Amino acid sequence: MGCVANVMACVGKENRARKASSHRSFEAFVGNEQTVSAQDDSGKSDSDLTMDQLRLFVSLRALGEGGGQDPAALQMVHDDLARLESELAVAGEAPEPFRLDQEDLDNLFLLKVRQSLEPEGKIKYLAPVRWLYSIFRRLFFGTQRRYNESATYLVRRLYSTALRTRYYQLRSLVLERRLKAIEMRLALLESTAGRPTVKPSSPPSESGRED
Amino acid sequence: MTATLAAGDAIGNYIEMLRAAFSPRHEIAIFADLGTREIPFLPSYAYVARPGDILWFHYSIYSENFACLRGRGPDFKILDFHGVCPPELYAEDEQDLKRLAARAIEALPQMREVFDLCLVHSDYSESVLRRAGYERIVKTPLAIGNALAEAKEQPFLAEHLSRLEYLLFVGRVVAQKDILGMIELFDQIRRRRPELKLWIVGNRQASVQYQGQIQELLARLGIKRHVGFAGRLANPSLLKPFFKYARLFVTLSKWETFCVPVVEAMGFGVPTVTTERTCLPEIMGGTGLLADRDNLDGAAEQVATLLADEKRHEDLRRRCIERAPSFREEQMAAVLRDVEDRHFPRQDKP
Repeated sequence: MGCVANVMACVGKENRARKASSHRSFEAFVGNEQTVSAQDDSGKSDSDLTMDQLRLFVSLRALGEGGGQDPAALQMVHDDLARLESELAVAGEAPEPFRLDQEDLDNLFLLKVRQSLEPEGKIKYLAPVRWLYSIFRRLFFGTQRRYNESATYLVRRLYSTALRTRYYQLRSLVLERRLKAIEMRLALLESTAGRPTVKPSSPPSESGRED
Repeated sequence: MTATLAAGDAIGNYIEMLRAAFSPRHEIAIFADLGTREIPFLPSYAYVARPGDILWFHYSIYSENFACLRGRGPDFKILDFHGVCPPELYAEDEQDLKRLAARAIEALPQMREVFDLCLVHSDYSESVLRRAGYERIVKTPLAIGNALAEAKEQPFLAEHLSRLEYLLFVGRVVAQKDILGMIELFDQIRRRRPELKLWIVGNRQASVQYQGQIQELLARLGIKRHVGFAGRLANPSLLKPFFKYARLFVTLSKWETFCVPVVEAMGFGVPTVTTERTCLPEIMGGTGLLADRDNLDGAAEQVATLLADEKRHEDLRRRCIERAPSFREEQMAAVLRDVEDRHFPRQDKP
C-alpha cells in the first residue's frame, strides 16, 4: 500500500510540474497581450471602438460556452472588469476586489489532484518504485489523464462562470449609478422647470436706457 | 459513418442533409468514433454489415472505423471522399493527426476493391481518387443548407458589424488554412485602407503552437486590435451577421477539397479572395478574386482596388447571388436521388 502511495506521489509531482509550466506560459501570454494593448492604445477611431465592443461580446460568449480556454478572451474580460472597477472607484462606490484568480484555481486543481492521488501523504521515493511506477503508468495513465481533463474542465467552468458573474455584477452597478445620475438630473430639470427663465443679457442701448 | 461528428462543422451539416435527403425511404443510423452531444450517434464498432445495408463512409482521416473496411462484406459500400490533408500541413504539435493523415493516404489505394461507389465534391478530389486507382466515381456538389439563411441574426452583432468594413475568414484556425499568410495579406491591405478590420471565426484549440505563432505575428505587425477572433460559432444566429456584413471572404488555404464557407459567403453575396491552390478556384467559379500568395503586396493592391471600386464589387456580388443556388440543399437532394436510382443496389420490397 505504501508503494502505491509513493507511486501516487510521483504522479502528483509530474502533474504539478506540468501544471506549473502551463501556468507560466499563460502568464507569459497574458503579459505579451498587455504589452501589445499598451503599445497601440492611443488614437482610437469609431471603428476601433466598435471592434473593441464586438471583441468583448465574443469574449464573454466564449467564456460562457468554451469554459474560458481562450486566453485572449479571458484577458479581454479582465481588462473590461478593471475598467468597470476603476469607474466605480472614481464614483466612490468601489466594490470588494475580485478574489478568485487563475492562481487560486491552479492551487485548487492541484489540491484536488493531490487529495485523490496521495491519500496517505508522501513516502520516500525508492529505486524499485520507479519500476512499479512505470508499470502503473502504462496501466492507468489513460484513467489519470481522463480524470485530470475532467478536473481541469470543471475548474475552468467554475472560473469562467465566476468571471462572467463578476462582470455582469459590476456592469449592473455601473448602470445603476448612471441611472441614478440621470434621475437626479431629471429631478433637477423638473424643479427648475417652474422657475422663470433667466433672460439673456442684452447689450445696453446707445442711449443708456432699457427699451 | 464518420470519424468525428460535430454539429455545425462541414461533415456534421452534410450528414444532417443526407439524413433529410434519404429518410423516410431508408432507415438511417449514424456511426462515429467521436462526437458531441448535439447529434446522437452509435459507436463505429457497433456496425455489423448485413445484406441490404448501405455503408456511407466519410473518408477524411484514419480512425478506428477503418476496421469496417477490412473486406467487401455483404453491404454496399460508398466512399464519400472529403480528401485527406497532407501530413506536412499539420503543425509540429499535431503529431497524432499527422500520423493518422499519413495512414489514411497510405490506405487509400488499398481500399479501391472495398468500395462499390465513390462520391467526390470537386474535380480536385476526383483527380486524387483517379490517381489512387478508383474508377466508379460520381461528382456531387455539397450544399450549404438553409439554416444559416433562415436564422434570425443576433441584434448586437448585426448592429455593430454593419458599422464596420471587414474581411472575414471562417474555418478552423490551423496551419493548413495559412492563417499567418492571411494576416500578412490583411496587414498589407490595411496600409492602403486603415479602417479595415479582419474577423476570424473558427475553432482555435487544434494547435497551441500555431496559436502562439499567430499572436507573435499580430504583436510584431502591431495590428492586434484590428483582428478579432470569434471562436467557433455553431449557432447560425451568431454566424449569420458575420457573413452578411462582410465586404470580402478571404481564404489562402493551402489545401481544400471543397471549402463550404466560400459557398456560404457566396449565399450572402460576399465575394471571395483566394489563391489558385487545389479546388478553390473551381468552387468559387469566378465570383471573387484570385490572389498570388507569393506576392502579397500585389495581392493587397488588387484587394484594395476591389474594395474601392464599388461597381466591380457590386458586379461580383451579383455573380455570387446567381451562383449560390447551385449549392442549395434541394439541388443536392435531387442529385443524390439520381445517384440512388442509377447506382444503389435494387432492393426487393416486401
